[in-house]
Amino acid sequence: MAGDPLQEVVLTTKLDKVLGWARKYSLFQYPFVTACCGMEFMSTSASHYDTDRFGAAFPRFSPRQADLLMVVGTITHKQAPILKRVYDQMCEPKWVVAFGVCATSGGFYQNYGSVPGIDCFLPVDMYIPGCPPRPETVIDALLKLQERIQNQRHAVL
Amino acid sequence: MPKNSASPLYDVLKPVFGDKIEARQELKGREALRVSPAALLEVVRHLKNSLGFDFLMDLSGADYSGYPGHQGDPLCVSYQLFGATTRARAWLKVYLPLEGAMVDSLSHEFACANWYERECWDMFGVHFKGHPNLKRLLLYEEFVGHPLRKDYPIMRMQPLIPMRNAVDYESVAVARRKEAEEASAPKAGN
Amino acid sequence: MPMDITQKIPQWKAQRDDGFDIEPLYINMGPSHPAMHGTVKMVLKLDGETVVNTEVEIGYLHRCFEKTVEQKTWNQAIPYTDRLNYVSPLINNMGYCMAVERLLGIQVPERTDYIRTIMCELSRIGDHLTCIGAGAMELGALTAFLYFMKARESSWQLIEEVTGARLTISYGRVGGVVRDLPANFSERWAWVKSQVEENLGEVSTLLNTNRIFIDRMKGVGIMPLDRCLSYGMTGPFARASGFDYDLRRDEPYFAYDRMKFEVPTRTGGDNWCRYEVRMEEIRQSVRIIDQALAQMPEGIVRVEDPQVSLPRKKEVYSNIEALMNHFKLLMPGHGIRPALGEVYAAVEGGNGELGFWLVSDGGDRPWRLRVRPPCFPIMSGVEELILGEQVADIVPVFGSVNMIGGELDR
Repeated sequence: MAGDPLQEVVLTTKLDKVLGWARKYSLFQYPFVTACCGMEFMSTSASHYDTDRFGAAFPRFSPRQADLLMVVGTITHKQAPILKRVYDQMCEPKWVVAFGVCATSGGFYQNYGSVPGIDCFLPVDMYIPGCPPRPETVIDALLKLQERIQNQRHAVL
Repeated sequence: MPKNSASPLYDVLKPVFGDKIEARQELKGREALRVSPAALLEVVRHLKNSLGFDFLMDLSGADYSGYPGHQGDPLCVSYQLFGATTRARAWLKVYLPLEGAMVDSLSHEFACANWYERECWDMFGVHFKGHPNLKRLLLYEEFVGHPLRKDYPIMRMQPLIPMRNAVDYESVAVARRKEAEEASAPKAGN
Repeated sequence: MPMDITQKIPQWKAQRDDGFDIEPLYINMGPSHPAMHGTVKMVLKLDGETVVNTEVEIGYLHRCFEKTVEQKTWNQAIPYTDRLNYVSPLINNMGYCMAVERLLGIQVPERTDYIRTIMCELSRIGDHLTCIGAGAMELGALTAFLYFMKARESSWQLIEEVTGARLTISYGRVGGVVRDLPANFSERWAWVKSQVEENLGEVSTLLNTNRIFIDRMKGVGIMPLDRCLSYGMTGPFARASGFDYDLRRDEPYFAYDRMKFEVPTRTGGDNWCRYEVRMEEIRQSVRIIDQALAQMPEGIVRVEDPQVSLPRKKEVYSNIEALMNHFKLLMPGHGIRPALGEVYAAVEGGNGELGFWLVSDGGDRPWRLRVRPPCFPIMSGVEELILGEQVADIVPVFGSVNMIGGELDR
């Protein structure tokens, strides 16, 4: 019934859960691959450690069609404006995963060229440490991200 | 171990070029010839056309400011030449001053010299006369300075978009290094 | 814009030259593009589908390797060398260690030479598998990619058993390698070899007589030999054009002078030849590893030089000289200190001659460490290579170039 506040809350939480379930199992990733972590990303997507079984295999190389931005590898100052632009072009809801220590905090590259972590200019949802992270770590992060998506509020209106 | 040419290159080139071949260094079994910057192009042409060194393997710079025992101009550009048929190697070096470092471009002799010289300009600030397109290769045009010179601090970042945590990494690094030096200074005697 | 199409193909004419006012189309194959392995930007000027002019912009992964290692000691630079050509990190490691050993003037034990040969070839197999697999994937042959990833996975498991890590292994040290091969290496290698050969066979059946693959690769991206030499290209790219030079055979290092292997060359210079050269090189690498395993002597794996290698832990804990030696090698300001000098040493990387120019000032840090990246001259030739090609041909050409951003931009 429209007027009953409790009923409304129950409806929206149920809707959140349904939307969360749908969104978490159909992640379209944009793999912004720059460096060595890309090799582990390829390994994780390949047949041995499969990400397809979690619904997150199919990369979409257009930001308009993707909802998970995976920043894989070191971001340099030359590359940063491009990454920001790609992020801005993605539509809501979107999540950002910092894959590897270079994207998380700059890694062991402390110099004039590398950005010390993409959270200097992007909001990050999941940090995956490792240089490069083992595929099991990546899958663990993916599952945690899926749990997060399940439990977050999904604005519909 | 790479093969040098049949007789040391110094003995072959010195009679032809005289004082333009300034010196000879013996470096771990290979000889490096120090050439005067003004004569580089003709030496390389001679090597390419008459002695068969028709392959440019590497072209890079080095900054010898503060190197122990170094006299003269500090900025070095080193050329690794190779003979595709003779399979011999040659190593040339020119030394340039920090201000107004200029040397002839080899981009008309070797096609790859185009990018090698752009990188040398980017990292060291060596200007190559006659290069068709001398602009930065690895860094962006807005970058100020030549990073591989010894006077460029490694932590001096020049971001293109605003960074959220506005830590000035350069001053932090300088302060930490000063702290480390002060901490180790009293224990002199190493 | 460096080179116009009329310089390469003098008889080229625009599609419509009947007086219509045609504007060329400029598109950006940007730094974030699925077919641009890693990050490289190509600004293309197109006439219809043909590339008329192009400018390649690199440097999007410039991680300041050369400046960074000037702040680190000789052994601390080794993890940074892993990340140069990150698909074959062992070759970078071993090449750098060899260059420092030449600077120091020390000779490593014989067993180390064989171990280094084996690990370099294992890495080279991984490099070529990745290159061909990714190249095939971009043309639509996803199965070939997955099969090669399976083979690469098995070789990475073997590398993990030896070094402890899959990709960034830091296995070399100045004076040797970190630790010896595990006891069951031969059996594990036999398993990896069977996987690699099985997958090579499967992918050959899939691709070698595949009409689509042949049409997209044969006759595309031809690099004539004289341009190859002018561009200073080495490695499988140049060998596919006819430049028969391989550092393993012509300037041998490690244990390559005791190995019997062939260096495949072709003369076509197109993508198909590069594909064939790389497939054949995988088979030759397998052969080299078999021979090295058979010939390898027993012994130590790090040179027992107190100036260079850490002493054994047993001795460090029991006698004072070893403790002092350990201390002297690790404390800042001490450590490995080569005499004043320079060296240029090169190894055959996955893409060609990987050269290291080291300058030492007598201290424990390099004064200058220059890496001569093998794919740098090849990338500088790409601008000329894709002139006159269609946009769709850029993808297989780029795949066969095997550009590795970590090495190109350092």
